[in-house]
Amino acid sequence: MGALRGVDLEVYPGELVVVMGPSGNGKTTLLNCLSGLDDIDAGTVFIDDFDLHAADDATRTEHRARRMGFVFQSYNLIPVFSAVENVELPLLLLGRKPAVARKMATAMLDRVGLGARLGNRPGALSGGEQQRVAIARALVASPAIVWADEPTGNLDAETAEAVLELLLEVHRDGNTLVLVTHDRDVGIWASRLVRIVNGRVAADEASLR
Amino acid sequence: MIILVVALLLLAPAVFDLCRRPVLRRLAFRNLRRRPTEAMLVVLGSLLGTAIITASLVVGDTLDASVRDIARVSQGPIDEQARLVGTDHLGDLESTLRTSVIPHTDGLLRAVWAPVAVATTDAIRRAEPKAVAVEVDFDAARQFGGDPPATGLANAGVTPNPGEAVIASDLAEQLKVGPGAPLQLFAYGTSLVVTVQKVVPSVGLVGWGSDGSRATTVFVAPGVLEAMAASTPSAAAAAAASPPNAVVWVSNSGGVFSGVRYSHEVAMAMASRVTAVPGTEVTEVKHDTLDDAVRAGRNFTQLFSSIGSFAVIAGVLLLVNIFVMLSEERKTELGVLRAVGLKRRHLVRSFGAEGSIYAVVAAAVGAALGVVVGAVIALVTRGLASGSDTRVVVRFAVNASTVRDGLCAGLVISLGTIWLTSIRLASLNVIRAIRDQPEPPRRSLGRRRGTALVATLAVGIALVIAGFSGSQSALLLGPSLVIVALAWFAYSRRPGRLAPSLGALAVLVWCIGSVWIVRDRMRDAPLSTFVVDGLILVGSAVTLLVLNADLLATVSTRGKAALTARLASAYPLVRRYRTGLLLGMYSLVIFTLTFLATFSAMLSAQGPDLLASTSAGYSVVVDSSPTNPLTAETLRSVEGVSGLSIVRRGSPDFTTDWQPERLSWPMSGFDHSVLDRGVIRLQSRSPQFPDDRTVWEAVLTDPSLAVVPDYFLRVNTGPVSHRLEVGDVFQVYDRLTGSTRQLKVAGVVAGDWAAYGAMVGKDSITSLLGPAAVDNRALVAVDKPRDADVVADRITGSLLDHGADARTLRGIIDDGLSTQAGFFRLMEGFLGLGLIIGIAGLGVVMVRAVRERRRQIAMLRAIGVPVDGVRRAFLAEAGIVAVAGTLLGIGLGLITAYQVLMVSTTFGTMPLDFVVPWATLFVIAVAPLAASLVATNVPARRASLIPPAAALRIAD
Repeated sequence: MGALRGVDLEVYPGELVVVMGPSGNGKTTLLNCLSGLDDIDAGTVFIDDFDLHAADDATRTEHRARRMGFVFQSYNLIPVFSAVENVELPLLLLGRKPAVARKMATAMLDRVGLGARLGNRPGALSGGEQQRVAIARALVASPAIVWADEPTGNLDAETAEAVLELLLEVHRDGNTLVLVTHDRDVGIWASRLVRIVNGRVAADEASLR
Repeated sequence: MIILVVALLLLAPAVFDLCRRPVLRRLAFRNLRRRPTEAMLVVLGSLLGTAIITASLVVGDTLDASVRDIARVSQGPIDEQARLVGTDHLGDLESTLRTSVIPHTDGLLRAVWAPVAVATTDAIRRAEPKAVAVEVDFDAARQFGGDPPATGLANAGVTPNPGEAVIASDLAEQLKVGPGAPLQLFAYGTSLVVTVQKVVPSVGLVGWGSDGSRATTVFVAPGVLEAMAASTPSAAAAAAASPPNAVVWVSNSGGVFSGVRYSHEVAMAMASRVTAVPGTEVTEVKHDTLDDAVRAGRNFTQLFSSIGSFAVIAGVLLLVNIFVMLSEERKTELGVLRAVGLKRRHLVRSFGAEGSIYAVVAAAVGAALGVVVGAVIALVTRGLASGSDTRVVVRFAVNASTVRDGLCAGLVISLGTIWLTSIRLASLNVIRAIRDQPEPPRRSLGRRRGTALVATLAVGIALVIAGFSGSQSALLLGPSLVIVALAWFAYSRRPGRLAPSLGALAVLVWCIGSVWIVRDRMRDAPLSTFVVDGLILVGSAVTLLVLNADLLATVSTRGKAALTARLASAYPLVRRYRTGLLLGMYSLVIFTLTFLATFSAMLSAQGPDLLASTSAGYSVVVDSSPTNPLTAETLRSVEGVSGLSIVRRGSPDFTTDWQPERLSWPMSGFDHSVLDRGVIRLQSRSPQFPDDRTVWEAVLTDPSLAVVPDYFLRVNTGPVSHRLEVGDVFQVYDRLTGSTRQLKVAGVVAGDWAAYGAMVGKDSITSLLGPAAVDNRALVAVDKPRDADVVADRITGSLLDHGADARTLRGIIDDGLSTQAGFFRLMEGFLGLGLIIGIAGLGVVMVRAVRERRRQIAMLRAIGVPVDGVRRAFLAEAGIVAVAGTLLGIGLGLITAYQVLMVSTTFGTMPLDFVVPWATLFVIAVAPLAASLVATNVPARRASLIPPAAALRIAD
């Protein structure tokens, strides 16, 4: 039995697409397949005109570096890097000079409200702060699309709201955001809401808002 | 036995828990089953330490047994002997000893012997210039000691008749003769042809007199030697020769080895009886040989243990590192266990139980591997020994108690490390553990740490006092501990890197500078001091580096290279404790290899200088038979000889303040011809003499003066604990005449390659030793020094009847240095085991790192780090540690070698040029690095192939 079947989805620039559904029904799998983190058995995924799964792993990886950003539930920061070192990683991957990368990362952390925590390692940051760093990392290279998998899942209500507000701000700045969540409070902010049930797209409708 | 008790005590709690505590047992075995690869790697890291310890002990057993075997092959049932020059009083000697049975003895046997030269009579002559002819009654000899096979003459048949001979198997093999073959004996200026009747095994009485070299005994008919001595063609030759010797052998009750316990008592009884027979020398020959065996075995064990201890410590560091990594992986799990009610001591016991399983398996496998390594070392050592004249056949031997001790020692080290690490790991905070948060730095000392600090300071001060009272190791360790305590205190007041960095730097400066700062106190430091020195140096250097590496690391490269460098250096810079353990482990082994290689290179390089300083312009040393010594006229007639100096030789007893027991040592008497072509260079001389030549001139004329080698009368190998200095006095005793003299040291030479022993004037040795001193050595100068080998062969071949044995001084020195070099290579090979620890350790740590960082690796792949990038980062991380460890180890190894060889007199006082063995260092640097990268490649590749989606999902 496949994790996903008959998924037919388009995401347009500037959209905030929220993917919702019960746990274990394929939301994260959908995100992984759409972003190229996981392989698919059948079908195609195009990012603009680029056939993601027709490319080899190296090309796909490079494409991710250039055109995508990721935010995860568990933040997944590198624990031995400081906040600014975590954020500048994607820029170094793209071949930016270290000084330039540092400057851009500093500016991005300032934007997410962590200008005073540049040198702190993840262990010294709260959950909300870590997620802000993750968001900064996802945005610093100006990706075409940001994938967020349960970004508020590990946060308390107040912090979740603050992080969500940050993501919405990111969207308002013109970024395309695909966000997986089971939190209804997040779903109401979507410009499009996709429901996944038992591996199928059960609904794909405009925002409830 | 103590080590066994300690091992059992350390194992007992784990055994109890595994048997009686189901929760702890379940935890231990589940963790084992969950990570079988890691379990195997932990065992691998632990077993090498046990292997090294066991191998060191097995080497001691092997050498002890091999040298002890000399007693069987060169003495057999002979426990004591009473010796006379000349046979006139042999009858008196025997009857005196037979007056009544000496307690604890079971046999007495008389014999007459003399050094002879032996050669075949066919066209292609083979010869042995240093054979021994013995006259003994075979029937009486077979019964001597009650064990005929032990005498070697069990199947020798009847005592040889005139014209017959029975020869040792070693001699037969050398001369390629068998029963029926004719042999020509040369002694006292005459020769005698005998026919070989039998060839007998070279053991017991047949091996007597060989002293560990090949047995060259020829048994002849009674009276033959006296007849040959009486038929010396010239009065001059008769006067120059040493007459046949008489000996009475005594066998103690018991077997070949067990009877030795009565030696001293029997020797005392013999000595008291033979006072009426002038010139008799009584010696405990078996006891002295076995003493040498024990000493040799102990010295080798100590040497291998000292060298091996670095590798053992590297193994301990690896074990600690692995356990720290295991605990960090399970931190959350452990925190939850504490939260649900597992007490801290149960956590310790849980770790201890699991670790004990690893330790027991590792100790058992390690001990077995140690026996194998010991066997390999025995094989290699046999090869080294077979290249020399020694008859020591290195026979692999191992006692069950040795394996037990090695196993227990490895177990104690592993268990001790495991229990201490477990105690430390169990002191985690529950909440921080569950949340996987780091422990905050301690702000204050606390009572326990304060007590530890005070204890460290107190121990340090005590060691400083001990150090200034004579212990060099304490002199290094004491101030180091005081500095550590002060740095610790400073850190508690002001946390940060400054205090510990300054402390580490101060310790480094002290250890490097101590040989100059307290030079007099560091002279003659034993090898163990430099083991301590090496440990402290590596420890402080590693501490200094890990504390400040972030200051040194600058990422100035662009783009992807910058990322690789950033990823590779991130973990080592942050996880300082673990990086320090890894670096320490790697550096220690590289340090020791560098030290050995440098030391070996320096000793090998001194060959040409040694020749120039010891030859005095002569190229060949010729020894001849004391029964038919070579004359100057005879030697001058040999083609190629351009000059010579005859040396008179004897072997009296000596004593000095620190050697009150009489010790036999060579003595050489020179005349002024030794100064014709140069002088033997002195290492030190009395200030009253302006130069070396003046010293020699004084020694040649003043019977109260002597020149001695720097290790004169030294009985222990290794460091010189006592030595005679210029101005010191020593006593000389002639056992045969009873005369004594006190001599004063006018000069000291470095080394004694030609075995001159104490060097005096010719008249001086004659007045002291009388007929026991014989002109049976000559120093020969040749027309063309490059033809010295040819001239030496010519002398040996043409002067067989004098038992001539000519060797070039260059050849003697080269042989000696090459044996030394071979021995160093053996030790380096032994230390290769430690290098396996370093390489395997790095591989183990990287395997663990991949598992630890699985999620982070997946994240890196998710944000766009390519497969190759991940692999490169891991390889670079291992490379950084390996390179840093190699540079540290090589640097500190060179410094320590410089200290030992240039400043300390631990290994003698020969002036040496500091030589850096670049080629060897290149191999030491590159080979382990390459091997480490190969070992890391597998986990690096696995890391790069982690599927991002799966790894991130598992984490979530």
